[in-house]
Amino acid sequence: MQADRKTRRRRRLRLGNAVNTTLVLALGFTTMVGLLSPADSAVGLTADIFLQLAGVLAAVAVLVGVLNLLVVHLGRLPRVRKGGFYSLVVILSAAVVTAVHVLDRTDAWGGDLEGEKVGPRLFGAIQVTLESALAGLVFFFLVYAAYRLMRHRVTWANIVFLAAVLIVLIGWLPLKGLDGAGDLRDWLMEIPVTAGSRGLLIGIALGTVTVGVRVLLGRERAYREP
Amino acid sequence: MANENTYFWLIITLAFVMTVLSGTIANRRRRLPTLRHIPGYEAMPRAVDESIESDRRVHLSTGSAAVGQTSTITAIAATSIIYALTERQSFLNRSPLVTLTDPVTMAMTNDILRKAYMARENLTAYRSRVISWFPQGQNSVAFGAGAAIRAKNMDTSSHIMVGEFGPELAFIGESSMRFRQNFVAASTSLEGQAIAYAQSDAPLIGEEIFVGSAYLEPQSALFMGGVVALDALRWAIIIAIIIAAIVNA
Repeated sequence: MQADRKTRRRRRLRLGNAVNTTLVLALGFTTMVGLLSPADSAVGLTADIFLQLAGVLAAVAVLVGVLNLLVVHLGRLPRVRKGGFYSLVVILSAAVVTAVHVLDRTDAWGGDLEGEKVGPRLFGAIQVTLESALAGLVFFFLVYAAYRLMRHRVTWANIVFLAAVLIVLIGWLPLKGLDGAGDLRDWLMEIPVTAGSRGLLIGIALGTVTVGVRVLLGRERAYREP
Repeated sequence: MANENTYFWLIITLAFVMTVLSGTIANRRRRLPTLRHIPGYEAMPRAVDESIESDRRVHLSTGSAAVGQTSTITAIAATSIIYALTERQSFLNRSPLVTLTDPVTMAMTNDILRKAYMARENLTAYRSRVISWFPQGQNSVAFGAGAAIRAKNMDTSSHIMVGEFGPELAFIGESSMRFRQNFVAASTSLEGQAIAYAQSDAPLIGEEIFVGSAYLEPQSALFMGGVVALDALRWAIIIAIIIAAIVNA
């Protein structure tokens, strides 16, 4: 009895896989051909509709995410527990940002703020400042990482990495007598770094193509049951 | 004169033919090609095994790789790696921690985790709440700082960061050094890749991120076919660059 149920379930799953794969193949190929065709052709317009649907789906996902975030934090409020204060901050921030955005859209500001967009200014004053301050720490993390890298394993690649870091850092120093280091830094950035970056980007593009082919062949996990 | 579309179709056709052909040949011969050694893919299962033995979690992340954006394929490749690693530990009741910044990728990752637990018939242990979303956007420092703290609070033993990351990756790398956690990272963005190389115990470089399925699930002939196709494309590009250089010299 149980074995029968399992077999039925497996058959249902296989049917689901077949439907999913067919859908992905059809939509994937249509979109790919559409993107490479003139925008006003039938297939081009169809691809455009598919892309717009993807955009709508993403917007709905963001909305669901925001609502879920608010529900979770509202649920935490009545109980006094660790992190409750942060939940209050999240809810108040969401309310203030929403209110400011609505006021921006309706041009409701008066006085000195008349005709101004307060939302982007608020974002710049709080979010960008905080993120910039945190980003300043990245330099120290990287210097420590370079030290740790050499302590961990000394290889040719690591020596080259460290030498490049030192040349670039010294090359930026505004001191007299270091013009040679500046020139070396410029050469390093223009020739080996550009070549290496292009190599990496070409490799990533080729990897993207091969995974894309696997998706179009219907062999990706995302739409197959195990 | 060939235009960009012609080159695109040429590359796609070559990738299709190589993937299907090498996958079919490997299937018929029942002998899969031997893959070259990539330290990152050896470190990943080891990190999961360590987390199982120490009864701690493993932190997996796709960063800002987003379905529906230009990084869709990166998100798909990263979730394949997440599947393989989660499936390895899905007989346990302790789920991995997953962090990301894209809501659509979040939905897909949720489904991937469910499938990983389903594969081991342990669906009761699956928890959708182990996925944490952080403010959206590339180079979101809030993501780096938040994910590092979340991973610390959830007692993780390893960070496996595969996807699209910028300088924010440094926060998680630094946290892993401070709390003596394993750190394996790869990014399709150049800034993130540089940080991943400097901080990672075993970094992945460039396109290695896209062959995760073949390394972590080596029994699949089609995944192996993808690796062969990638190699063939790489050689084709190298030859094309050399010919172009000689012709233009």
